[in-house]
Amino acid sequence: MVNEFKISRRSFGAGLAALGIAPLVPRLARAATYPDKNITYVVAAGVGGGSDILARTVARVIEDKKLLPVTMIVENRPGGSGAIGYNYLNSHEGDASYLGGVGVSFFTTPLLGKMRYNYKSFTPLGALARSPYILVVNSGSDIKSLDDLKSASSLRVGSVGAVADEALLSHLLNKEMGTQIRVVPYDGGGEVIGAVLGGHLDLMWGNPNEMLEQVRAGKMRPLAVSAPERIKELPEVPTFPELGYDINHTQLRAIVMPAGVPAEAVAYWEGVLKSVAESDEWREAYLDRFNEIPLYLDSASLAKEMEATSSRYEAMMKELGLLK
Amino acid sequence: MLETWGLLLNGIAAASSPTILIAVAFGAVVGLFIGALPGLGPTAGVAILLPLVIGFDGTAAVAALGGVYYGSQYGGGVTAILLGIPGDSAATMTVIDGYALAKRGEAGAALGISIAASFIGGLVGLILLTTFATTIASAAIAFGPVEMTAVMVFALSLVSVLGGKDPIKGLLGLCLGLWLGTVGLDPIVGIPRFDLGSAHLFDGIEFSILAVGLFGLAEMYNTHLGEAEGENQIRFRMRDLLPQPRKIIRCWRELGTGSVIGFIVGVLPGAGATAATMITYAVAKRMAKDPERFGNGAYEGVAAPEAANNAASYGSMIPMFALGIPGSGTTAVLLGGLLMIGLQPGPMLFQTQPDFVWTIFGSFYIGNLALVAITILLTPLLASCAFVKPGYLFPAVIAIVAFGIYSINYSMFDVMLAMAFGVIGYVMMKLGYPPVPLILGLILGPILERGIRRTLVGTNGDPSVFFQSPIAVVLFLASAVMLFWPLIRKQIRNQRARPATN
Amino acid sequence: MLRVRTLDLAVSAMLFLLGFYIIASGIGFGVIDSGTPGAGFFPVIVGAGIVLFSGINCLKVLRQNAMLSEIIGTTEIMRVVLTSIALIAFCGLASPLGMLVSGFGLMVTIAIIFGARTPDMIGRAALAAAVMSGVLYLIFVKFLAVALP
Repeated sequence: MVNEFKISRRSFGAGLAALGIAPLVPRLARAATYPDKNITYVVAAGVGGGSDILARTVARVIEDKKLLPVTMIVENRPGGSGAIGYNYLNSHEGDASYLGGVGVSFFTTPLLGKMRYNYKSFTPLGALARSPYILVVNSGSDIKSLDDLKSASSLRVGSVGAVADEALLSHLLNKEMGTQIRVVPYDGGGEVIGAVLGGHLDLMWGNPNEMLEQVRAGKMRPLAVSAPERIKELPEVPTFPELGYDINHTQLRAIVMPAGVPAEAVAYWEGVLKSVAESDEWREAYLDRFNEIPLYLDSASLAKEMEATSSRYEAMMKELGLLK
Repeated sequence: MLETWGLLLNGIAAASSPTILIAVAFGAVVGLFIGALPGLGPTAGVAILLPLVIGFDGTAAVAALGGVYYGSQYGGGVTAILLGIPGDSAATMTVIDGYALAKRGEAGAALGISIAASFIGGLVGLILLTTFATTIASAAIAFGPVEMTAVMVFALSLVSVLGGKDPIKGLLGLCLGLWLGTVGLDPIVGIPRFDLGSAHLFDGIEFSILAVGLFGLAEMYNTHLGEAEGENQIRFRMRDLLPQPRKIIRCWRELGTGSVIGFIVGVLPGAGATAATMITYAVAKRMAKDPERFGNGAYEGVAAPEAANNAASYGSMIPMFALGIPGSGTTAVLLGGLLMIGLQPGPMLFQTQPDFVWTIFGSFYIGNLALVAITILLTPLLASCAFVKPGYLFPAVIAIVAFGIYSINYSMFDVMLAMAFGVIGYVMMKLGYPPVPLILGLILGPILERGIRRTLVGTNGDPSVFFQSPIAVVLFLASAVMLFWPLIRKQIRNQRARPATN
Repeated sequence: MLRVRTLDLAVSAMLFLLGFYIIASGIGFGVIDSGTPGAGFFPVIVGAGIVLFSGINCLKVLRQNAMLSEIIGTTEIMRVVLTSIALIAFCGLASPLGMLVSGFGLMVTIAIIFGARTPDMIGRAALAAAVMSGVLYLIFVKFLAVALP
């Protein structure tokens, strides 16, 4: 039984094909035209995390809609805070059969260490969605609205790691509202939720997907959203911009290729990603499921976004004293 | 309570459907196997199987993943006992007495105790999980950074018994372990520490790599070839290949405490099964009338940690089922699995998906029974490994170790790291440095450092909060008692002795 | 041939220096960071512990010179050194030769290090290594789908 199945943590597409679930993708005989080789989607994190789920969902939608004449294989290369995976992707310079997802560590790890790569070493392809952050408190907390933050003293907010979106947002919050909230870094999102539930932290930032269940169960109270538009499932929760605070930071679900890939490959993938972003399958399997905001960015606009995001992190890390 | 048992019986009945039975058996066998491979533990096992099982229907998929989780806890002990290499990090403490027993020719008995302990620990953990999950979850969230600091102080005070003959070398080893625990990106401010200028060490030193080098490779270097072969031929007896129930029953006390303590530590945020085995081993040694036997092949020294790591694996599922948050690295991957399958984990899971939850719990009971049957049948075959000549065994084992470690992160750097720890372990063994304090430092140190620094970041440097939490104060007092226990015991003895002499 | 006492002394001295290195690095990381313990707080304490205990151990070894006159045989040292070299070679050769071929070489080498000297024994070890390579291929490539170099 064991040998019959091709078990694979790295090759989801191949695994499904071996199971006979996915229809076999017809190989086109035009060997010269791109893409003629299987595409490897490198995930710079372990199985089961956010970026892994994103990669596997993209691969599934592409396969279901038959957008590629070849197979897409998801390969996890965790370790080194993303450095292992992105180094690996970067080492395939000029090879358009490799692509990878963009996470927070994509920007921050090269800023910290002497990496052989930074965000400029990759070719942006496009973005498929973005995810805002919701600021929440324990539902037993005295803080009922954003204004209560100003009067409260000695507040603690959780963050997943020292250099992370939660830390970035909290620094923006302190700057915008004049609060003195202290950031306490934890190792995982679950630990932060547990600490808020147990009263060891006063505030936390979370993606809608993490927070909605806690809010629905009455355990957490949402205060505000870090995007210009409100979240569909929480229509009564205001956004920071509409309250007059310039806190607008979302996590982009973007895809890049190694440097030096041909322009045709970029154009090809812009087409594929656009069809993914606009498909019903993508809406159902990802956007609605994880309550993310629909979005499509092409290569040029993603390049601009990446530059802006990196400089935001760089500014925060300078303020934290991590960079000179 | 009655209602719970009714739900559970329904769950067991639902889990007895052929699809789920096959999924459970499949997961359990794969888990057993991955757990036995050095370097690969339950987290890797669940991650490896995840992409495959999402093709199953939701409940069967999670049942199979659960099987991998507890199956690997059974498997880890097998490698630890037979080869002296921890199959996964939670089996490290099992090496100490289990391998000593195997070297003495009692591999079968040691395996038998490990299987029984795994089953009993698993059963206790499961019963607690099924009956009190919600209550325990709300108690567990009371443990924040302050309380975790106190737990770690208490754990370190307990483990002072694990030092070995030379206390100075024990302390030196502990400090080295604590130092190795600081390698990687700083958890609070994010700067790299002792990374040797390489991103490979950003996430710290993978514990299983250190354990494989320090125990497995070092032990191989230290084997006296001629002697070992002669000894083996004399000691080979059929009886030694079989589990021995009488010896299992003799360990009832360690089985009980191991299960309960293992479960509690498993529930605590960020502690984990490996820390649980260390604490239970120390408690077992403390309670023993003749602690000297520990480390030289005590049956209790296998029973306590093996019961603990299995109980801890269910403990770490409590936050997942009751609160929708992962309680360990493995449950984090499991949660990712729930999401991929299309289930929304959260605090309402018991209410919104009762059929799912109780069927999964039912499958855990079935899976544990199946694992006992499988492992008992395999015991004689496995135990005979201990009698293979080193000339044949070592090349194969070193190759499996190298491949296994490589597969954790696809990294040759990790293989080199294991090699380096093998040499370090060999030197330590020759000089009489006990390896246990070092691994304790590496496991407990980071939790302690995070606890202290998170607390103080939260209070802006004011340490008084450590004495405002009742849980913490009790634990600090208990630590003081533990540290001064030898003195206290002496006093009590003197008091008792005095009237007699007068 | 190496006296255990010499090794003990050398290791303690190295640890003593390591301790100072850890303290110095710790100070570099920042012991106190805006009023709370910084990244260097723990390393400084731990480094001080290493300096203290390795210092004590050094003195102890120097005083009781008769105690540890045990000797480690040259064969055993060679075994450790050769096995380590074999593992380094394995890592280095894994990408040009492929991990399975390199692993086969590793197994034969280790069999020789651990006692296979006659051509007959080496032959048997090579056979065992070939079988094991097949097993490793099945486990890691077929079953776990690890991308081996």
